Amino acid sequence: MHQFLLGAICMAFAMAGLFFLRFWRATRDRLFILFSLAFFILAANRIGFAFASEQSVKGDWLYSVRLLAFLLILLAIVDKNRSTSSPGG
Amino acid sequence: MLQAFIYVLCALTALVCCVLLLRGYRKSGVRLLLWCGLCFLALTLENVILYIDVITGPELDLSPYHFVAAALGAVVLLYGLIWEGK
Amino acid sequence: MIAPFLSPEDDDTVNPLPEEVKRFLETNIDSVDQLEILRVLGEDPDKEWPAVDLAREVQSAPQSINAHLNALHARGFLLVDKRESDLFCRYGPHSPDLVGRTAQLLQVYRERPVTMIKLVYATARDPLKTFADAFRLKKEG
Repeated sequence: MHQFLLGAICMAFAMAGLFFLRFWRATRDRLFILFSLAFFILAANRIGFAFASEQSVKGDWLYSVRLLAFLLILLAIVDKNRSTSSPGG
Repeated sequence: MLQAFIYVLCALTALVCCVLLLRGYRKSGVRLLLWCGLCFLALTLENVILYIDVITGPELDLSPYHFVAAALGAVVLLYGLIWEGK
Repeated sequence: MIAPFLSPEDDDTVNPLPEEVKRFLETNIDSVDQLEILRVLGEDPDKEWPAVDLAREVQSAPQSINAHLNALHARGFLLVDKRESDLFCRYGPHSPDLVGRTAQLLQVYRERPVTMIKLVYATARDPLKTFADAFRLKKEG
């Protein structure tokens, strides 16, 4: 059951990553490429969990990968608020 | 413990996104923001549950709950992106 | 402002706006008020306007005029001066490139006001722009 949910979540986040990638191509807004990367990383994170052994589930560097995804989202937010000072297309 | 700290940070980030998106939805009525906001709410919940799971140790296993939270978030996000994105 | 509302040249599908003007507008202008502010300031570049007078001139709500002015200043269109509790502003694009592009924007706005206004409204409702703008912490109005 866990494996099934992991797979489903992984696919869904990967698709979300693809959507955000498409949004970035349409708007050229950096926020979308950062969100896209973040969701791809979250998807990859689930793949990591799927293949990780039972013992390593708790207390492993896989959690840092998740953190990386959320840091990218934070970066997107910070970048959006800093770039309000840069005009142009 | 580092792991617990990571979950807290992830939960806070997800919460910030959730609040900003739901606030944006309230202002603009654009439904994409509603679904994405709810997704981040679910991700906040997922990370909170993971945090509780880690700090309470092996006797309490909350894995079904954080999986469901993440799955719900993913479903809601996909729904929003497919139907409401441009 | 003279607006030939039913003029066929104003239809963007028949006679599309230049792509760079569209992009410039979509990125930098959130509302018709902001476009009007630039128009009024651009008509007399040396004149300094108190925010209150400007709000009356463009028929914008006084509460939102400051947010618009700050947004336009942050994007490099105006010079803004705060004295005591009042905001004063003057036309002043911050770079030579902006000078040209803003002049072009205002030129197109003069020639095709209805199309430009429609574009602003379309942009404002754009889901992707609204999504991205939701992450702006400072409310720009």
